[in-house]
Amino acid sequence: MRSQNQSPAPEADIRVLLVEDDPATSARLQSALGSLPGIQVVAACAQRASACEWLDTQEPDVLLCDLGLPDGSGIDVIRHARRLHPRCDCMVITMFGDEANVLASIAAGATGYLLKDESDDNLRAFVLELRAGGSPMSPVIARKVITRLRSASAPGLPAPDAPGAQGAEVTLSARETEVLDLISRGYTYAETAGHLSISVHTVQAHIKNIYGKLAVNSRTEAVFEAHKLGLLKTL
Amino acid sequence: MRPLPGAHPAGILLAAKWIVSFALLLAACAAGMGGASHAQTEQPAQVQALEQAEAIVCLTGGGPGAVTGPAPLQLKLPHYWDREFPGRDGTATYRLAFQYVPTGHDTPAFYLPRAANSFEMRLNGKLLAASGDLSAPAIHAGQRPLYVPVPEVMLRADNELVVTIAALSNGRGGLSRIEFGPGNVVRSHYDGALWFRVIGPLVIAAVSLLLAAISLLIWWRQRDPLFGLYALAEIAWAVSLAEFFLADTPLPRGAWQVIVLSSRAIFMVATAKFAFIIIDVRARWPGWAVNAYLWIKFPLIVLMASVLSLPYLKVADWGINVAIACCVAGALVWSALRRPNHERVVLAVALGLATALTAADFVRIWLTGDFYWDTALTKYVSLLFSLTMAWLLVDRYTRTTRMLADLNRDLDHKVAQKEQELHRLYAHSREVEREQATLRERGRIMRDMHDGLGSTLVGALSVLRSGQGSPAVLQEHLQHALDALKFSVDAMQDTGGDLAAVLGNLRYRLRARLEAARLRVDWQVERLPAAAGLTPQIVRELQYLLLEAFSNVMQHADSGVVQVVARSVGGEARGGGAILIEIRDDGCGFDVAAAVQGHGLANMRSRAAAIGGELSIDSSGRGTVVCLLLYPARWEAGETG
Repeated sequence: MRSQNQSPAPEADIRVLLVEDDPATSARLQSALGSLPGIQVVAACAQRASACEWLDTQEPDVLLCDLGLPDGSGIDVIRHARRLHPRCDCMVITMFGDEANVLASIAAGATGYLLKDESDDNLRAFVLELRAGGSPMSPVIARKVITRLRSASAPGLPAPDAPGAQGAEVTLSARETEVLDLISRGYTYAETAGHLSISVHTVQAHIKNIYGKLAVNSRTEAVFEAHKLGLLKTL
Repeated sequence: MRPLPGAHPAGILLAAKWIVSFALLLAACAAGMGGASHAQTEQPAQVQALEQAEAIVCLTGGGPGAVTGPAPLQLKLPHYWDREFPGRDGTATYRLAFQYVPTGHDTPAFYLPRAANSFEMRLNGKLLAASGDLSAPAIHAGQRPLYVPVPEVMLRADNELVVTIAALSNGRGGLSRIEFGPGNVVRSHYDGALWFRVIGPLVIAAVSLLLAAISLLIWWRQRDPLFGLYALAEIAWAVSLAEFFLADTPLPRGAWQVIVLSSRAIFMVATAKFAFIIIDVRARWPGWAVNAYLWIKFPLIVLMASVLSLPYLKVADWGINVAIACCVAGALVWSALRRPNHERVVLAVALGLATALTAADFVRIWLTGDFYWDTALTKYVSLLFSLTMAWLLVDRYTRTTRMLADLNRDLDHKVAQKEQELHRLYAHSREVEREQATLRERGRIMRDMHDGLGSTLVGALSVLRSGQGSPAVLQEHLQHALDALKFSVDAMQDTGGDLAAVLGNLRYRLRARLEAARLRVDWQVERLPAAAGLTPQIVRELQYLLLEAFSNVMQHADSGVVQVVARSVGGEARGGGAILIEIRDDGCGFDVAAAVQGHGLANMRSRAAAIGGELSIDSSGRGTVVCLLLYPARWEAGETG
């Protein structure tokens, strides 16, 4: 699943903003990332407010953000960063088994996630991969995404490629459903690519698209909900 | 010549008032009783009652006591044919003499209550009025009162009136006393009699038929015997009244009489049965008595209608009527006294009134000698019953409707109450269920912690304490502890019953370890049908089982490739399908029989059994196959977990 980092050699270091309230984890991540060539932790915040303030004035390449912050949710920070800096990649630092929050973060604009117990080597690989356009996807998350973006066709089966068939609702394309289905069954990106006779890059592109759709879907859902509640007068 | 007893004006009142209302009827009845004595004093003196007549009777058809010759008889009117010549037909000519003093006020006129069955009237030898054929009179003809105005030119100071009648046996033939006087006075008497004897019964019959029709309609839809009996009684009574206003019938006179008398009997029986139902008679004898009455009455009626019309038959008839009336009255009064309710009391009162009226009639008729019961109130007595029965029916109907509405309301209330109770009960059971589920889940997680994370940590701690553990061994122990924790958390993820996702996640978690063991994975997990009963506990057992199998491959098999196959087998049917999971390596294999303990195989078997699966392990020098068959239908049925 962790494909070879194909990114062109970066001219400058990747600037990372770390938002983590647990000092021990923060220290470990800082030292692990800081020791890696090509990655530079430019700031470390422990609170939502300070992170947002920092983001108001500066732009990181990568935002690494914990979700449970003392003064709010990391999801707000991600949303803030996405709004101010569309080119910034956001990653959630999460505990294993927190798939629901990961999905929420993706919906807020995160394009990847990082498990706190990953080895230092993996940390670097993840960050580089993310910059190169790859996004991780565990079987459980793949399963949940299929459920969430369920298309009008029979569940679990490739959906007909009919985007926008249900108005503003975002649905998965047939190929995307196939990709997610294979990943949910435990196949790696490479095996998935082999099964579908496509390249690993294409698989990664699909995953990235799916992340985007999740975010769009969450926005349309929010608009829809707001409209229902009468918060918006017009769509 | 004397003033007439004036029952007839009272009769007018009666006929009108009885139809109008029940209460007025009672008052009018009293008026009727006392009417005769009052009327005598108010009678205008100009009206003459012609009573003394010289009659020549001629009986036809022979038989005993036949008077054939013109032997004049001196008699006093009224002359009742059926009393004088029972069972005989014949003619009679009456000569009456009277005087006339012109008053100049009014045209004089005759009023004849009865000249039956056909008659001819001659004044001073000139034909004055006639009705019917003297040689072949119609049965029941001549029952109407007659009013005959007299041209003054036909009158002299001394006059002779000759009335010829032709009478039929049982036809209520004969000649009544004749009134002569000023037209307006005589006319009022005539009108009273007409109302009382003809129009009143006609109106009552019409009303009865109308009520009967309504009641019959209800009975037809509801089959309530009360309505049927009421309709029967009303129809019977309407038929029995027909003789008062129908002068001629298409039927032979015997048959007509049978019908009229039978309908009276049927009226009595229907009324009695109606009363028995209303008062809820439980004893059998009143019913038998009524049936017996019918069985006796019908032959008697036939007998009476035939030629054998004898006075004692009439007496017997009356006796039977009185007997049955007493029988019904006894039952009514008895029940009204023993278990009084307003229905019984009303019926008893109605019957009491009827009895009183009939008895009064008897006495009065006996005193006045009205053999044909022309002035009798008895023919209106049934009205009392009709009104009472109608009122009872309406009362019952309203009560039933009201009761039904109450019942409905009550039922609604009860249903709502039960519904609430059910809701409460349901909520409570849901609560209990939730609590139990929570307890179960808590127990499972605690067991899981002890078995997985706990035991691994204990192992790590003991390695640390022994002082012999290298950092690598310690790291391995801790990594296992973390893995155990991850699996516990994974087991709680909702995968929507997707076993393939469970397997996929297992591979995802083992990724690092498999890579470290330099094991290539040949992953062949097909799309699997959703298993509705896939609980966290089953997932956990499955994880442990497969983890054991993977551990065996990594630690003992010395293999380069591990093949994992998962597919559904055993038909498409949801209930019968099984899922096959195979873990195959190409390692050195082991002796399954000998190595049960060492490879944790017993543990695997017990876990397979716990989730209702079948485990088979086949090992040889070319490798090992761990084969697990799962039956999701068993999970759904709750046989495991």
